[in-house]
Amino acid sequence: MNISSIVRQIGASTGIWLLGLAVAPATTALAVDYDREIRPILTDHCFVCHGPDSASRKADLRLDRRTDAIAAGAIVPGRPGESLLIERIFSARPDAIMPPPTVHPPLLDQQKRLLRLWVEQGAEYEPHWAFVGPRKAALPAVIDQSWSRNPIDRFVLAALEAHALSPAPEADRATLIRRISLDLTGLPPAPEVVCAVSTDPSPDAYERLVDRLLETHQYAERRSQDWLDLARYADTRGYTDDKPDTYWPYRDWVVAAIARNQPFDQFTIEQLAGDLLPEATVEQRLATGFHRNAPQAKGETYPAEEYRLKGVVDRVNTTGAVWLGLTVGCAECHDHKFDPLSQIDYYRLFALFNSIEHSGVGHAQGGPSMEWEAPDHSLLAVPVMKELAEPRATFVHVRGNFLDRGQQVTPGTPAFLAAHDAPQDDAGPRDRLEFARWLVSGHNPLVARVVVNRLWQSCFGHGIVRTPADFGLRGDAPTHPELLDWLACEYVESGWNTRAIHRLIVTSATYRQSTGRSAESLARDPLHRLLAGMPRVRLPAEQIRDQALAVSGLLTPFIGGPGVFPPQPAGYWEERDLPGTWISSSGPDLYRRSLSIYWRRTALHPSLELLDAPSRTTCTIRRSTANLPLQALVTLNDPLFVEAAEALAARILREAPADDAARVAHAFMLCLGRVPTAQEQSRFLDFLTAAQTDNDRRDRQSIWASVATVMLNLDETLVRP
Amino acid sequence: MPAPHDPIALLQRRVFLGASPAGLGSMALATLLRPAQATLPGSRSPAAKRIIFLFMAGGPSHIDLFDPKPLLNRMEGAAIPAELLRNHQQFALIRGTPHLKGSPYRFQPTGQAGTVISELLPHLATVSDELTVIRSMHTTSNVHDPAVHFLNCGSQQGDRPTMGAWLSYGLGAENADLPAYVVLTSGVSDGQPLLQSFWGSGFLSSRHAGVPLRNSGAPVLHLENPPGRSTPERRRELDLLAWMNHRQHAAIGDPEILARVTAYEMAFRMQASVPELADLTTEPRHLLEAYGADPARASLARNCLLARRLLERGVRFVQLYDRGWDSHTDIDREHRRQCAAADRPIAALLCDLKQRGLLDDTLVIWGGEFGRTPVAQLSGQTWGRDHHPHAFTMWMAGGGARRGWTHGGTDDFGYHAVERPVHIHDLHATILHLMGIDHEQLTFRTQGRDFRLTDVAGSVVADLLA
Repeated sequence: MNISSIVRQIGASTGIWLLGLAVAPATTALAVDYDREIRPILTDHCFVCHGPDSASRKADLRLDRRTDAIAAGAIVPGRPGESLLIERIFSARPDAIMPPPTVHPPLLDQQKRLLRLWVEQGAEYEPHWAFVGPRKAALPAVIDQSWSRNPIDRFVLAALEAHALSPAPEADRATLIRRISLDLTGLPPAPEVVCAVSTDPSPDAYERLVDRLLETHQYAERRSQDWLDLARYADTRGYTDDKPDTYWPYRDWVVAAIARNQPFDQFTIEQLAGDLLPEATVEQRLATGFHRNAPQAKGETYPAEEYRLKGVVDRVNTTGAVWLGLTVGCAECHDHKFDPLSQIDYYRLFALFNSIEHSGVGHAQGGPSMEWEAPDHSLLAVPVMKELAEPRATFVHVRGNFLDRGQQVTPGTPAFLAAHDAPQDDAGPRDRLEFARWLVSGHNPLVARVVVNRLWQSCFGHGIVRTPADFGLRGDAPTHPELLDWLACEYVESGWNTRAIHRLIVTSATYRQSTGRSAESLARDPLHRLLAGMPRVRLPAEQIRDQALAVSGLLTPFIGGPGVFPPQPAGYWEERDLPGTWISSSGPDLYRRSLSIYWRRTALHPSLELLDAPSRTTCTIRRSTANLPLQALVTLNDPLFVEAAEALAARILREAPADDAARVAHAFMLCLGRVPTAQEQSRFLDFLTAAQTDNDRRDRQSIWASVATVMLNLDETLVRP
Repeated sequence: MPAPHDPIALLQRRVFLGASPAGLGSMALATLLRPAQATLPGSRSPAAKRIIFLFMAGGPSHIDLFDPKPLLNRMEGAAIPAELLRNHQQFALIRGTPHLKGSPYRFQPTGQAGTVISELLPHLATVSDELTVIRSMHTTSNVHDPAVHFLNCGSQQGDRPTMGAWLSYGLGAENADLPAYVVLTSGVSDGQPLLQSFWGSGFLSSRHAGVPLRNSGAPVLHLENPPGRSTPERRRELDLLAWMNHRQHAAIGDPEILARVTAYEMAFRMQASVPELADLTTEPRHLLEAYGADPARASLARNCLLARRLLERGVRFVQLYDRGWDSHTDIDREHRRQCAAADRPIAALLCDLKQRGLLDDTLVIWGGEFGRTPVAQLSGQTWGRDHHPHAFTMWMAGGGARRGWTHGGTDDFGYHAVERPVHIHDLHATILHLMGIDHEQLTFRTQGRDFRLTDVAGSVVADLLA
């Protein structure tokens, strides 16, 4: 059996996706690839006992570092026969075989042979790809010279060609207009836009639409929604009493920062440490609301110090997930089992966030706030970060128990990333400001990758790394590693210009493909990793609501300010005994864009909750999307959607008075941004006739409300094409 | 005190053969024999196929219901012994040094097994031979919501999947017209809200989250058509919708489109099936009386009966939150009230399940997020007890749990679980075991880790198994 077939078999049996294998030059076909082939075996089968976690390490042996493995005699490079590792994995004796059968399922024969071959070839280790800084590779050669529109496409096409797949044809103009409008603004295109852009003969009509949409305020609103999931932004403090607080000025800060395309490095620094900037402005201090969104317990039964520390843990873990794409939280109680992150590293990060002012006990306890003048000139106390004059001492919490103090630590960054810490002195960052600057210095190997990966996810449904919160050893390998690195480098070179990278992605040929999938793509790439076609993405909860309001003409724009209260079922809070009363808004606030909706962590507005909006109790990197009957009941029967259907019916009747055929066409144009086919037209006309025949007392408005209900519930309506 | 009405006797006077409830029951049973279950990794032959979790929210007092402490009674009024407070952080609300408080209630051995039960639960006493009483439970937090989360998801944080979500994920749903995991609520408001996360799916898909049935209005949100829309009109809309969606599927081939068609059809069927299942007026009068349920009034009794109907229709996990057990003050009045509302329906539920042959493969679990302190909070007539995580009682019945067994024990004061202590993780491991699942194998990988209900701990407690 040759190596590549061994590798393929292992790939198939362990579910490892061996993307790029076929692209590898023929000369390396016999060389075992540590990063792709060996590390997954070691990570899954060996590192729990012989890895970075010193506390659970057995026999004082670690296999995650070459020097240690060699020193211990586990590996003798080039000599598998003398390597204990090889002897033990092939052992027939139950008391000698590794991994121990009582602890772990046995290695597959192919895996054992692969490990032996690797030792034979010299047992070279490579650092984990994500811990080495990205570099811009040359654009790969492709056979089809005509398809690519920008560098992104070269990487995507090269991978497709390596798997003998072709891109899908470009989507028609109407689909592209709907896709880009929903993605960039979160709203469907107006019929006039569809007509104007579809008939625009100029070759760059699409690009000019993209540029127009990127400049709209709705663009900033839509992007803010994703950031607020990361920031676990809500209008209440969390925990049992879940009292309201004035968090919304932070939300409005985010929208404003994105609206002016604030470079991501500044965006980072101000949110993590705006209060520590020299001569910090009011806006910069407001930005630090990011970490005041950590849930905060108030009340006599919550031991004050324990729950203050839970807030610090949340800040560390959120920072780790959002900027580093690492599961740092694993190291709260012990050294990380897979990533080279020690518990001491964890508490050095912890120390950076451990000296926020926090005072009082019981209901009076809480963090700092600043006085802020709202646009209506009222003075508000807004939660912000403020450092204690005298920092708190930070100790390792043994097994995560804060009462069991281990060694004292100073603020700092994880040791394994410190090598990339070029501009800093050896002491590492001393406070949040230096830490934030370190994150976006351009030398950190993770941050730019992690951020562009999420941007990619927002366009294609999945990131290039499909575990967007885990770029560590246990995370998924990137589907297009060189593309990820290219985008990350481009991002930093552009001055962290998020909008420019977003533009690059949405103007690529990759993004412009149609959604249909070829039989070859379904067979060879069932998980759609290679992007031979555009993935369809169900709209997020807020966009489903906003779209219904927009097409029916009810939508009122986002204007910032305190959360609004669109009606929810009577007694919804009371039946769960939640304090407070939901008093429905009135007037334009009833139909306000969903970004404005009051977000209660312990009981989100039920229609948003049912449509998979997260509670935002903790940071959400990617929403799950279900497809459920309870969701169908929302878009069919929730009074808001019923009202939208009625208004849409009235709008159709008002704006297309000619005849039913014209009305059906208008309904399609409003909801789907396209004209109906002849078959669709005739099916809808049949529906209208039958509805009239069934019940001659039904008025036109009521029958058209039925049509509108159907339009608002179509798969095509609910899914970004 | 003898039971005024013996629910077993009440039930046994009737024979259900051929009647519609039995018919539904056997139909449901047939659908429960699910060959696909054998393919689940780590699965074993299950004793239980479904669960009713009677969650006594707020924390019932173990000392007053299941765990008599003669020495505590004798030492009533003495300051709490200092050694009990070693390694003890603080009480939830009591400050200073409180005094021991015994139980004012009589306890008696009941049934053939002699299971000891307080006089506050006379009906339960009549079915005590069905119970496995675990006196040695202990948990990690003395604050309500972290403790509730811990009992539901094995973690104090509310961001993990709850037990019902894990079971829905691992075993799937049995009935295409109903969710696999349903939540019912009852009881007296005591200021402890029911949080969305109590039935959340955490990092699992939201399809596995519990669905709360509401006590007033339509049981499921937005179940009813808008005013003026008749069922035939809705059907016609859905036909057009399905026609369009099938066309879309033919053009694009995305299987999610077909899933959406299915979801809409299921929603349509739920509009009929949910009101039918929630309509208790079809239950025979004697059964309503045995449960003490008024079909028109929300109560734990009504929810117990509803739970049985849900199980019969293939719902896998029904969690009943009964609120009002958080007796910081006037525990005598409050616990008498709670027991009066809970005792008869729970005993009736056990009998009813047994009568229908459902108890053998239905696991019934009773308990709260923690117990209550053996020291008094406040004094005089309105004395109460504070939250107590170090020892408390839960019980299980049916579904492969050991019958007529009292497990483990607490110290002389009911303060610490000292004899064969059972941690929440152990309880979870045991429950999953009874459902045919190895708790170490039912995992979900997210954020670089294989998460499970039992976190990194838990052992099956063999003594609790039949």
